[in-house]
Amino acid sequence: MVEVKEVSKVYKLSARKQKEWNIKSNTKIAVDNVSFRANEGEIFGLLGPNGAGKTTTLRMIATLLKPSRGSISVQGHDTVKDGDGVRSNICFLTNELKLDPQFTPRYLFSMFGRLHGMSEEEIANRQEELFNVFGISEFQDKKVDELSTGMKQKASIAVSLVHDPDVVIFDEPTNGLDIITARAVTDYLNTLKQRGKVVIISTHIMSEAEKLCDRLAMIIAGKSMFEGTVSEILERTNAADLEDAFFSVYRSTVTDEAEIRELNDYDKQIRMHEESANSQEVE
Amino acid sequence: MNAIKTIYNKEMRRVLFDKKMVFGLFVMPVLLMIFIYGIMALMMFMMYQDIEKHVSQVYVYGAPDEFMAMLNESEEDITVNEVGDLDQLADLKDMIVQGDADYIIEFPDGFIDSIANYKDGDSVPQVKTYYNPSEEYSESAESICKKIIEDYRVKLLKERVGSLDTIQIFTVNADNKEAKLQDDSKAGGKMLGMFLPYMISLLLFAGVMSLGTDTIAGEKERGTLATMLVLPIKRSQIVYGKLLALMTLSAMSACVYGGGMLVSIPLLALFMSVSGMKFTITVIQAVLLIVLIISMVFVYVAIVALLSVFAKDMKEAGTYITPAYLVVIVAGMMTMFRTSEANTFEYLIPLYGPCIAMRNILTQEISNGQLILSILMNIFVGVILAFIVTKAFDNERVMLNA
Repeated sequence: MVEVKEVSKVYKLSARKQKEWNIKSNTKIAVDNVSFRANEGEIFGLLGPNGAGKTTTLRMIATLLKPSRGSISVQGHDTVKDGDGVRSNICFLTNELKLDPQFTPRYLFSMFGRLHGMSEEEIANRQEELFNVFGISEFQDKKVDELSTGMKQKASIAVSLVHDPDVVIFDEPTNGLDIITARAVTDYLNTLKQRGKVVIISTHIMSEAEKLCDRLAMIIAGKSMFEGTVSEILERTNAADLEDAFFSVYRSTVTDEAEIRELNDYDKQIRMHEESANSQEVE
Repeated sequence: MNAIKTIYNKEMRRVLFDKKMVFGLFVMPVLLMIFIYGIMALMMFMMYQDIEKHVSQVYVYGAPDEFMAMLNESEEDITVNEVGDLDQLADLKDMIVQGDADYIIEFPDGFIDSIANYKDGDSVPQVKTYYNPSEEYSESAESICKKIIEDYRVKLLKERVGSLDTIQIFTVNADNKEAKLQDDSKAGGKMLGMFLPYMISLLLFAGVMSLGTDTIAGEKERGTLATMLVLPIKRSQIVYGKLLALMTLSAMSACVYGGGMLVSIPLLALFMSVSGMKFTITVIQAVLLIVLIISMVFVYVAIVALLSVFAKDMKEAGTYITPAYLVVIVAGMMTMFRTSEANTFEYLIPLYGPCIAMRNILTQEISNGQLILSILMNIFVGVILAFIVTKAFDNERVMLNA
């Protein structure tokens, strides 16, 4: 189980960024008092527009960032006090985390397995299973650099799952994938759910969230606006589908014209901040 | 420990399985070194050969027949040209400046008479010579002719005073063949010590720089380092694995440079012996050098790692590391022109101390205690920097720019 309790993330802004974004304060709240719980055997979705704070939240769960306030517990391990314990139980897949282009999927799979403390036999068994599921065997000895986007994503998923983690965190898992690869990924997420894993995904694709997620949290401008099942949100907003429901929540959250403008500015600023952070990691 | 080993193996594999990197790091430097020294030795050799072959053009004005005979009878390769009038001398001086003529000897008018009629208190006649010290041929002609002029002067002196002993009072090293008491290998070491620390530190740092920026800043830029950060291993294990691999690769690269030098030393020795120097390196010197170089590699690796970890990408890392590279260059250069003996304190100065130590190993002017101090200082500095790198790996602002 993953439990996020009243978590906030406040970025300290450099003088250059303050000037660049025309902000007087030297801090910016990217995630504001967010709480949710993701359970075993369910796919939990973080839903929201770009720059809403989804990736920041996932990064905090994956111990890459420390919450400024609140706490996160992953399978009973606190992300700040017991980072190693958390990392043993999770896999975190995001576009910004890449596989070394110099190596082959087979080498990377084996290397990450060893770093997870697995034996050669365990690694071989997992490799057989995951390489078959994602059809990696045919390009397992090609350098990552030579692979297509879809192949790279498949290899990344397989490598991240090498240790058969209890908690699977995928940030926009189908982003940039062709329809066939995207389907293979969502199918596998369902398989993981059936195996009793905690699966957390973030997405801004409403149709994907509607199909895939058992429960979800809507995050807008760093704040959690709703947590529940898809049917609960449809019922509460009296909407036909999740997209309509999302806009209903969005509008009810920000009614005032000035607030909408402020919100848009806020979104823009956070997005810029995240993009600037991401650009350090993305080729 | 296993995690450190796995990271280490990955880093090693990354370089050693990449043909371009292997060529650039391990093959190219040796080829370059052999090529540069080979060319240097060849050019020096050819230069001396050329000077020896050259027939110096010596122009003489107003010389007595006796002196002309001495010049013409000389076994040296000179052609003697008599100059008829003084006006011609001005043109000849220009030719000397241009490098077209090598030497001019100008005797004053009435030279023989003034010598023959010399009385106490008379001023002595002056023989003027002209040459161009920046022209090798001219310099060579100067040393040949100077000797002949001196022989002529001594001859005339003997004619005037009979035995030279009456005016000589005492001689200096007239038959002392051991006047030069230099240790030839130490002298060679001194010569080598002038440029070897500079070259080694420069090449080592350059090797570490290209590897280190790619291993840390390059991985940050590619997003592969963040992938390692979500593994259930300590950040320090990632750092140690990377630093150890960097050290090994840099030490390998240093060995390659060393090997390149061993191959090049016969070439170096060739031109050093041409210019009157000998060079040999003892086993003890070689061992001490290697230990010192390994400790230097550790410091360089730690410096490059520290600067790379704070850089967002390889470009920024390059910007941060360039000043450090300049400091290394200056530290190396400072040892080149150092003449006084170094005191123990100097061996403790990071970057500079090891260069002085390296030079003084070659000139045999360092005690074992001083050398050990220098090595320990390197290790101390390296450990401190590695600790800071580990702390930086724990910092989300540094690692993720958050």
